[in-house]
Amino acid sequence: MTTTRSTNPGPAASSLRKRIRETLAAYKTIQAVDKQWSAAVRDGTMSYSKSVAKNFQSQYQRWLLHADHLLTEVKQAQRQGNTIPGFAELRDAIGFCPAPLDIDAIAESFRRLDRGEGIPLAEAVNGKILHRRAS
Amino acid sequence: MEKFSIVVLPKSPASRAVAALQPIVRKQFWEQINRFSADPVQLSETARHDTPSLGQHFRFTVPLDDSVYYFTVIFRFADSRDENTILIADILVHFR
Repeated sequence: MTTTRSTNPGPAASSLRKRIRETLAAYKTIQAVDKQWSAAVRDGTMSYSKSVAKNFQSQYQRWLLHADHLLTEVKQAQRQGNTIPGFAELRDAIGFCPAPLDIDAIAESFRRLDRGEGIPLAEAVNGKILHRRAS
Repeated sequence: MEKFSIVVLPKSPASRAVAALQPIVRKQFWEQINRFSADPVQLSETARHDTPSLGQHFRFTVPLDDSVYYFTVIFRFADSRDENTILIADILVHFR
């Protein structure tokens, strides 16, 4: 989401644009290598490794730390009336960044599902059952 | 292709994260999940991603005022013989 309140950005806004481009490029680089590994695992040329998965997660975490700080600066600049192209793209990249996922917890969740602890979604309409059982 | 059955885990971090959402967002979350379960083509071709670091997942957003909830739902099919049931292992929620 961008605004059009200013057509002549100052040096601070120009700097933010540049940093957004660089930050998004760094994210795409991590994703590209992640997807490359994914393809290799799928076609059997490489085997799955939890340590490699955690390495990717570490890269995403470092990126998120930096990007979140940048997003705060961009929001501040937007509030001051600057147009900052790339804001929405940066926010979306942060929003879908998988950094906070716990790979071990996901594995445990699948083990629980294998043990039959899952319930059909129909029983969890509006989260009522989930909420009751989780409390 | 038939509608997907979806299985979720109670007492999991994911279920607690969803339970903690504002009611209006939680309602939209389940509506979106139901839409995916009713539309396997959308799930398979549009929203599904697969990376080893994350596993199979689909993603969607729920806008609220000037901000957005970002959902990443980690899942797998029940087993190779039952591709009409998906098991949701985890849900990642970001609010930006």
